[in-house]
Amino acid sequence: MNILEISSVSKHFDEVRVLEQVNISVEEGEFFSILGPSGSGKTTILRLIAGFLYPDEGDIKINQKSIKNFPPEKREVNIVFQNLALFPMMNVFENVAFGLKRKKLSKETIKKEVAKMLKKVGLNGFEKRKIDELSGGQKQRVALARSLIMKPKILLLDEPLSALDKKLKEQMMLELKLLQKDFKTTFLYITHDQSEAMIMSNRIAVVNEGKVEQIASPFELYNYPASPFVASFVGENNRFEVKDRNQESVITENGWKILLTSPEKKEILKNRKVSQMFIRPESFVINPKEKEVLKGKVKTILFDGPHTKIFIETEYKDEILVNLKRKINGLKEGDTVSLGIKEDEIRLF
Amino acid sequence: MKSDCSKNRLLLIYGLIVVGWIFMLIVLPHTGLFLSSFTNDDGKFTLANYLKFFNQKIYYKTFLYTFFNGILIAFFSFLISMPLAFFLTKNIPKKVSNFLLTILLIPLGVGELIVVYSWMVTLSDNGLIKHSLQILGIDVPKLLNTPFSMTLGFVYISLVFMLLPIMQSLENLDNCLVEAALDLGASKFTIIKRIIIPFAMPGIVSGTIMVFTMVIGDFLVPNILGGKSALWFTEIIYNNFLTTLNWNLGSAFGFLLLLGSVFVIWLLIKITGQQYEKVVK
Repeated sequence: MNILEISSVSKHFDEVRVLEQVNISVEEGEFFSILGPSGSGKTTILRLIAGFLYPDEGDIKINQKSIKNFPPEKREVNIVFQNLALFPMMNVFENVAFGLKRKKLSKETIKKEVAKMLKKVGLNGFEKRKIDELSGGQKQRVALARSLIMKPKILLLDEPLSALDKKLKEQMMLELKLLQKDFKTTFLYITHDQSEAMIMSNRIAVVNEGKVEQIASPFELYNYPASPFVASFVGENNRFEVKDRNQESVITENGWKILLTSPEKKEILKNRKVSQMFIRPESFVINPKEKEVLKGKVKTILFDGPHTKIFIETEYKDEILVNLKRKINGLKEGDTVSLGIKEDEIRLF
Repeated sequence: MKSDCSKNRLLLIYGLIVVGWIFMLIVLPHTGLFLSSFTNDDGKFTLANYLKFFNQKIYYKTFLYTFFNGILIAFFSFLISMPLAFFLTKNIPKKVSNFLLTILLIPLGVGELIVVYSWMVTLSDNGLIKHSLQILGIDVPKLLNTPFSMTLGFVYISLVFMLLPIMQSLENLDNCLVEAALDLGASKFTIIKRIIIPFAMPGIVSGTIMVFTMVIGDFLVPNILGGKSALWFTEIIYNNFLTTLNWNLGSAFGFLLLLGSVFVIWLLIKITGQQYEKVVK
């Protein structure tokens, strides 16, 4: 069942169109991400759902009920803000209890609920702590507890991890995911960081320039991008401008002719205009046993533990990125290599 | 090495100026005041000056009246400054707010005497307000030399001293805090009470201290706008020094004023749970 439905929503500020005919539906219990570069309109979507903005066109429904004209306090959603927005003059208990106090619950109930919630986020005993005495991760958890205690239909998260360092971020990603499973609350996560979105989400909506480019699972998004933007924004990719094509091959800007023989690719070449080609760094094979398609010279090798990034200048003067799993078989900078490609992983637009 | 040495010498000179200032212009005169307050006409030690304060009703009554009004005026000042500060920092562009603030500061530059005299002229029986209202056929009671005119004058001259520190506190208030409170279901009233005022508290306390000490130590406003109806403690001190020429009694009263205001400030900081460092900053 869809808990949230955004249908044909448009929004403009002054003359600038920020959102254009946005359609998103989120299923109950899902971890859903909205991924886009800064200025893509993703924060506007969040503020429309939270009630800090109202749409110019379209409708927003929670559980089939339109909430488009409700003020923020009447909507059963809560936000975890980018800077967390914890109340600095209150301690941890008062922060977490803030929403419950507004609901006029009894003191005992509030105390019990807050204790339960703090235990769940791993902060029991922290009630009396001041906000500025907490570490980054602990603040994060207080902000989550403060929102989750309201039992929102949807929890909106506005890039809450962006201020954390890499290690802590990875740890918090895991915690968020586990917390979401534990609470079974629908999470709507806003981010510009594709790895955050990929790791945590059930589904992702990629937004660019106020439009939804694709809504799909992380797997689909990575392997079957629906647009050139998604192909280049999600994960690393090698992009080639296509100058010409015929029934069974495409020719890039720099004159590289690549033969495409699979039925699927032939179908595309027959029926569609093709202007761009994307090949993932791991879709290349270095020194293949069969079917060499390209020659190149190794420019730089970047070793990164599990992966190795190799920048290769091809015989057509294209600079391409190739990813190898750990073993590089004695490859050195300056070596000439032959390259093969897994043809079914090539994407044409 | 040489530059290091000259730097040290410069530091020493500045240090001496600061210490000299504090000692010569603050410690020494107040010690003198303190000693003089325990001295009688013959130059002998006595407690009579202080006992006089507690024995004569007019003295301690005026003292309490002054302090009570000081707190009241600081409170009025707060009531006006709080929404004004919020408006100036949050609702309008920085440029406009700077411009408006400059206008608010003009009376400060003119000088208190001019301001107080202007109010006297405006509020007097033939002044602008009474005169215009009389033409319209509205009869108004006496305005000048009443508690009203004195309070008005005090609030007028002290307003910016409340406004500026509150504005400084509110400038650091992230709008997200207000949005977070709204998101958690808080009403406008709750947001003011639980978020905005607690956040501005350091500013409110330092503003209150400034306004309060300014008001209880002021002489012009009660003298010119308060008339004989309002006896201010500073007027009693003035009389002792310049009319009855009883400097020792004047010193004792001056010292009581100082002690009283220190006590009120201490109480204020304790009640509001502020840290002294934060308020002074």
